[in-house]
Formats: sequence, C-alpha cells, structure tokens
Amino acid sequence: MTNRPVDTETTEHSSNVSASRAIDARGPRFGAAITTVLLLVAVFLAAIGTSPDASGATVSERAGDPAFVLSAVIALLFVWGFTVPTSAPWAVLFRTVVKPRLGPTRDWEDPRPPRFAQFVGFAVVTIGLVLHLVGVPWALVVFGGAAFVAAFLNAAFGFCLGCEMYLGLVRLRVIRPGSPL
Amino acid sequence: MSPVIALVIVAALVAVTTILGFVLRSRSVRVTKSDITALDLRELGIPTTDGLWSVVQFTTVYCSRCPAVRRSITSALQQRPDAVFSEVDLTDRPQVANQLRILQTPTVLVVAPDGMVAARLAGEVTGADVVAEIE
Repeated sequence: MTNRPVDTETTEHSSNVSASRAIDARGPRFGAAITTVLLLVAVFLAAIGTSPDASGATVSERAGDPAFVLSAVIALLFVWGFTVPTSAPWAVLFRTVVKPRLGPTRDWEDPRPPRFAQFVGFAVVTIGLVLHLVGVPWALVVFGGAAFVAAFLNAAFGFCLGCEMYLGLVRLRVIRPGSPL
Repeated sequence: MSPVIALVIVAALVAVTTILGFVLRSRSVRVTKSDITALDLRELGIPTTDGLWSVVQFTTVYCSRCPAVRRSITSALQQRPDAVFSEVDLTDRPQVANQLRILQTPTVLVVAPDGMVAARLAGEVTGADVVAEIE
C-alpha cells in the first residue's frame, strides 16, 4: 500500500503549488472584503444616481456620476490585481499592516485562481461601465451587483465564483483556453 | 431613486447573497450516477490500472479548491490499496471538458476496474465521499 503513486505529505508544496509561488490564502480574501464594501457603495450610488434613468441623461452626466467614477476606480484596481498582484494596494496593505498581526498561515494557495477572479471582476464591472456610458438603464446597478455577489462569496465563504466558472467560460467561448494569465 | 429605496435594494442584495453563500456551502458536493458510462483512461494520459479502481480528479490551474480536495482524497485512499488516484488538468484541454461535460472543477470520476464510471462527484469533494463510492 505504500508503493502506490499516491503522494500525501509532499503534495502540499510540490505538484500544483510550488513552494516559491504559493501565497497566503488570507491575502486575496482580505482584498475581496475591501472590494465587497467598495462595490456595495458603488451599487448604492448607482441606484440613487443616473443609472436607473441612464437614457434620460447626457453622456457627460453619465460619466460624471459618482457611481461611474467609483466603478471605474474599482475596475482599475481589478486590472492592477491581475497584472501586478504583488504591488496591488490591498495586497500591500495586507502584507504590511494586517499580516504582521496575524499568526502564521496554514492555508497556502496557488496565486493563479485569485488572479483569474480579478480578471473576471474587471470584465463584469467594465461591461457595466460601457453599457452605462452608452445609456443602458440599470447597467451600473446590475453589473456592479453581480461583481458584488462574486466578491462577497469570496470574502465571506471562501467561494471563488470566477474560478468555478473558468471551464464554463471556455466552453461558451467567452475566453480562450489558457488566457488571460 | 430615493436613497431609502436604494438602501433597501442594497440590503436585499446582501441578504440574497448571504443566503446563496449558505446554499452553496450546504450542497457543495453533488454525487450523480454518471451518464458517461465508460472512460478511456489511456486517452487521458492515465496509466492503466489492471484490476484497480481509478479515481480521476479534473482540475484547472484556476481552481482554488482543487488542491485541498486532492489532499483529502489521496489521504483517504491510503486505506484503499485497490484504488489509484490521478489528476487531469483541463486548463488547456477544453475538448476533454466538452466530451465529459465537465463545467465545474473539481469534478471527480470514480472508475471501476472494468473501465466503467461508477460515480461522478462535483464540488468540495472529500476523501470519504470518494471511498463511499468504491464498492
């Protein structure tokens, strides 16, 4: 029974997660918690702003809407999160302020799933931004709300919606295999 | 829209997402009798296992729960010398995912020694779930 090709102790840091690449799994969840709050504020601002009646507002009114500005900032933070994740603001905040106050982690993870989730978050928020800009009513509320659901499930339940959706997105030809990271 | 109605919308969003989270957590493992009856292990690059059960876990590099699921299964299978574990990365093989109709990772197939798929498990699978399917 010991000569079977089943590795146990070594699995943790060998096959999929090489020790040098693995990151503290609490980091992305901390970032997701902050993103959750930002998205909730963005949805609220969108609901009281120009979004419900976007077709009745001018382009400059739509672009100057606080909800649009905040959603654009969130989208840029997502871009930062999947391009240079180690220097993204929430990752730096976690490393310098939060992590020193926590005990050592037992929960290491591959950095690719959270990066992919950042990409999915960026795509969802950006669709909302573009639709809002061309005057589609409720777009900021709906797509901001969708991104909120994903971020909240990640922060509160450790469930990575974007990661779960990878094969579905490939199959629907929304993304190509291997892309974007 | 009045801020009060907007606050109600935001509160409803939080409430619905919380319920969704608990639902996802409670039914995170789905065991189904597979409609794919035979699985060609050799085609998947898995060494054939004469007379042994095969437990095949399908993953992608973006699957955040897969490493923990693999650890749970390999640890449980130490008690089962009649079963061999293997892992198939579908990140760059969407055609295999299509063929086997795998939309979710991890998906685990329990394959009997005769090559027939005994069970298909999806979600936060544990080693105990897998062992329960090996007859």
